[in-house]
Amino acid sequence: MKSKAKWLLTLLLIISIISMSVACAPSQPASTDTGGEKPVDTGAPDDGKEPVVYFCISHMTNAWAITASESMEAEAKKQGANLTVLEAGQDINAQVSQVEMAVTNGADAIIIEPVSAEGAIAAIKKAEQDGVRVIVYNQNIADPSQATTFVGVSNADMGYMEMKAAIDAIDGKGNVVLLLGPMGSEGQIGRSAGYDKALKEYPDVNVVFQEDAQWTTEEALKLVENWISTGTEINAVVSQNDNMALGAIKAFEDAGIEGVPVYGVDAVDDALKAIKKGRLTGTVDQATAEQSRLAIEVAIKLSKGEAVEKEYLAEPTLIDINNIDNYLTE
Amino acid sequence: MYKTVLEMRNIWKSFSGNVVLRDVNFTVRLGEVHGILGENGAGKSTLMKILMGIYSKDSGTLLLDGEEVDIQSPKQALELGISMIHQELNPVLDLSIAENVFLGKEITKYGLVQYKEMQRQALEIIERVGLSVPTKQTMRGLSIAQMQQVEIAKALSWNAKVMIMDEPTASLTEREIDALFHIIRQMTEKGISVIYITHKIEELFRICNRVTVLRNGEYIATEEISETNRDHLISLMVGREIGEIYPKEDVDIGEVVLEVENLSVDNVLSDVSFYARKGEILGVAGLVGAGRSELMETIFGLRTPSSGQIRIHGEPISITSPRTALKNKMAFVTEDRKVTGLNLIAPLRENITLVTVRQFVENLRINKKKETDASNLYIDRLGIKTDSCESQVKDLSGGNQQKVVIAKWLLADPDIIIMDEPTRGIDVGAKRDIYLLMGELVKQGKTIILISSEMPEVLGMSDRLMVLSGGKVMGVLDRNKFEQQKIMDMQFGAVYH
Amino acid sequence: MMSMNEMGQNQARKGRSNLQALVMLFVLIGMFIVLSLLSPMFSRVGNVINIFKQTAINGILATGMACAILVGGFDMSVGSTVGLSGIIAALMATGGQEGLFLPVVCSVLAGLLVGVINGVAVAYMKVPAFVVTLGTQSIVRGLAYILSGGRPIFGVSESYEKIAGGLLFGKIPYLVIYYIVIALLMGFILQCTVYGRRMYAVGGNAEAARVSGINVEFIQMSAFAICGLMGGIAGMLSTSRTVSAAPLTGEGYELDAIASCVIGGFSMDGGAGKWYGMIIGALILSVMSNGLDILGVASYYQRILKGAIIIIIVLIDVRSKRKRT
Repeated sequence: MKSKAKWLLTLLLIISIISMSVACAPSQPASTDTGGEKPVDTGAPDDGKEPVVYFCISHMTNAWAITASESMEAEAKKQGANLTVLEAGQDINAQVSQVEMAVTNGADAIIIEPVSAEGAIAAIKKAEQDGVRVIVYNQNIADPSQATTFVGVSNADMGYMEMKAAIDAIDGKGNVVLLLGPMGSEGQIGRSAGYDKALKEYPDVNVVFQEDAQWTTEEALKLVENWISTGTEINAVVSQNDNMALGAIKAFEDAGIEGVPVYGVDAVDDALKAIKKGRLTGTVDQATAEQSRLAIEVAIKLSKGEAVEKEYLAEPTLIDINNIDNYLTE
Repeated sequence: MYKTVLEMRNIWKSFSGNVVLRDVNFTVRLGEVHGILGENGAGKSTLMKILMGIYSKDSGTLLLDGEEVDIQSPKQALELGISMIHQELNPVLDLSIAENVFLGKEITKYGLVQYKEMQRQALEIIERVGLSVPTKQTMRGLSIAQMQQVEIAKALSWNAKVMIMDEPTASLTEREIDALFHIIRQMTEKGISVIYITHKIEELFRICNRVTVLRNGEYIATEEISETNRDHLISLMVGREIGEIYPKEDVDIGEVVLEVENLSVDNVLSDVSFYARKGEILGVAGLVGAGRSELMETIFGLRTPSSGQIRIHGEPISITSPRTALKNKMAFVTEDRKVTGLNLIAPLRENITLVTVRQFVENLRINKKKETDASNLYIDRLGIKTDSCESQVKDLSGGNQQKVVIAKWLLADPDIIIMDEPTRGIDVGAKRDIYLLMGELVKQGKTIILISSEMPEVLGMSDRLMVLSGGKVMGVLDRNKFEQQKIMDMQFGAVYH
Repeated sequence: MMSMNEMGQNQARKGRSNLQALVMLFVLIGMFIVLSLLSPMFSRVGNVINIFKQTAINGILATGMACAILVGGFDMSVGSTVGLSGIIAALMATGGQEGLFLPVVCSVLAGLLVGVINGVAVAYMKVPAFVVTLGTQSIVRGLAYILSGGRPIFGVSESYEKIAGGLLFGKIPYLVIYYIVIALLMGFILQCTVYGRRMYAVGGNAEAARVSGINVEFIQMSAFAICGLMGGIAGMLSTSRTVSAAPLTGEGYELDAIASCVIGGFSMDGGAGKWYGMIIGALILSVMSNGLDILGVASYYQRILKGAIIIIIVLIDVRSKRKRT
């Protein structure tokens, strides 16, 4: 019996190690294998060879992350870069090792979407010291001076744009509720700052509830159900991502309440469909594809040794029923 | 004449209104081995715990070397020279012998532990108790007997005047017991007094000078060992004459019910053959490790035999699990009721119907009324003392718990009842109830196999007695041929023909 | 030695095992009264239905978890099972697939399968439950990611949405009905059937149960299987309730389920706990969360409160146990 147990334990261990390494390994290997045989190369690549670029993404578990990595791969193909995507599963330690691995494998540039604004700094600093240029993508780090450049979109701009749209929808007065991302995350801080800016301009708009819904539909559904229960009049919902916005919509539908405008951020496919159906009022596009295009462009520039700017910001856009047809691909 | 070291006068102690020690007197002389004899519940441990400062007495006086002392804590007792070697040794297994000996009074210098010095001093002390192993070694590698020697050494390191030993031979081999008695004699020669708690009467005659008998929390008598005998001590202890202790019924013994032939289990049993008859109590004796419980576990399907055959009513059967044993109308009152007999946190009712709960099912549902009735019937029949059948079993006394285990099996109406140490750790009254019940059961034509380490019990209750040693049958004796010395010899491997 | 003393204390000890569930019932009622006084909205019918809706998923998991805990184990993988079965259901109920049979049966069976695997490893291969279910937690979550491609799945068919979202008498969501039916059914099994009785016996003392002719391994295995099955049902219903499924769904749910059982008086040593305890435990968690949301207490404080309540309850349990010995 005992030996059987041991055997099973070993098996379990092996399985979990394999599954972990599968999860951490390059999820979509690029066309040519760099395989590590290439010597550490910190300078410009040989002529004719595609620059080696690593994209370290914090996780691949939501629609935005998948759009980001797919658009990055598409741009790499188009512009001619040898791209490897590494996923950290929201684990800062994993991301740090991945950055180190990218450096040893001879990356010409690293694009990183940091797991944590603080935690990634040390690894980025180390990579820069080793001569590998780092482009911070989408979410900036706490000390932007440590990386070569930042490509992203201003969360504050997006927040402002979203809140402004919601306020316009209720004619500048009334009660709004906010569904926030986890407190302290880059997206939450930036978007909330944008909200505050817009709210200051309209003193007649009151925030009656605001709460962290962990970016998830279930949590947002539960929260909005409970807020409806309080009997407080809710004139609009402003959510920091689309998943949570969709949860809010479900709560209103279940409660039989119609006509409350709900706004989200991210412009994921299902949000776009919901706008088309008139369920979701609007969403703010992070211009993810544009960010990816900029990131690859900057990476190629860097690998050629060209100078780049300190920051590249893509322009967010508001998508609502008026312009939805430009975005729906079907 | 004799110098008195310790005197306990008029000790009273009660727990939440129940008197457990009633005006107990007790004196220990310098350099004597003083046995304390009593059934479970007689008050032996409570008295000793008062002496060790674990409990505080309600009233009474305690004199040490003629001076009144008030012992409040075990540490104080140790400092006064009173030590106790518990039945369950609890050394710190991963610390060295030296560290165990000096546990709680480590030798330090400038706040640092002086290991070298401790090892040196510990070696001196353990050599006094006949142990010669490096004191750097951890306790884990020692045998039980050696651990006990370390415990004794530890007591000596406190300059013990009085050493209490609670069932010290419980898990020792015969040779180790001899060695222990040698150590005890050496200590008494040096003026240390030993209080020796046991319920093995034979040991008292080997090592003690005097013996004090307690019964139901009362002081009964103190006897010079040279002026008393075994039967007298037993009658003092249980308060009855010996014939009354084992009420053996005369029952007509019928045909063979269970036959075991050449049963072997790897490393445990070899070639065991015996039979048991209707209306018979077959006793099984043997030392620890003789394979008694293992044999019963094999018959009951808890172990897999490597060879051999079991027949019930002449039919060869293959018992692969307790379920098949149950189907063949067997029951097994196991040795340790808390480990293998009872679900302590469940009510009596659920324990009593554990085996037979299917009997009470109607349309998928357990008919709780019928179940309760059946439970109450057996609670009455076996005289189980409880508030209701919904009380948790863990709240019962040992004797009542044992009766619950027996009730569980009786409800299944078995033909063959295996009882492994059925009276271990239970009080006199409950023991007697169980003996009477056994008589009643064989009268009904059931077969009982009784395993017991208490020689008087197997001698008193069995019709025939099988003696095992080292996994082999040494012989089977009829009741008229029971002789204690012969059985002892057989237990040590002498074959009887 | 202490037998007389012990018997004297019998009276006081009697029935302490049921005590906790009853105490918790009063805690629940007390919470309800206090919250009603603090907010008049709290005790409205609509909100009470909300509370039951929000209890249902965790409550169903708690019924399964109760089985695993009863036989002396626990299951760290149910949260992942919710994620996996939710994804399976969503994959089969989106993109114009209107049929209900396939998504419901497949998602529930997936949960059952995870439970059986856990059970076999724990009962027959004797691997500690914590290790096995921690392993399957990771494996099952990985499968959920693979099947979903890492994305949340939206656009569940309307008929599938009705499974949990439909209303009985135009008022009570089916989701609540399922929970009540499952909880009562489990109550019946635990309280009234031989099978339930055997779970208690195995958890209370597996060796005694074995000697008494009970197939200990089967009981243990099946308890884990039920736990997995409940994970499957919860996932299936979660997808219907949120009209979506995400591979992350259910993360940490196992802890809420364990907490519900512990609050409701289930002993982590196994063999003790009343069926209504798991319902009371689950309700306490959701009443607390709902009430504090309504009062506008930030979720971070709610976390602290939840943790504190669990510790206090376990503390009461440990203390009452210590007094017994």
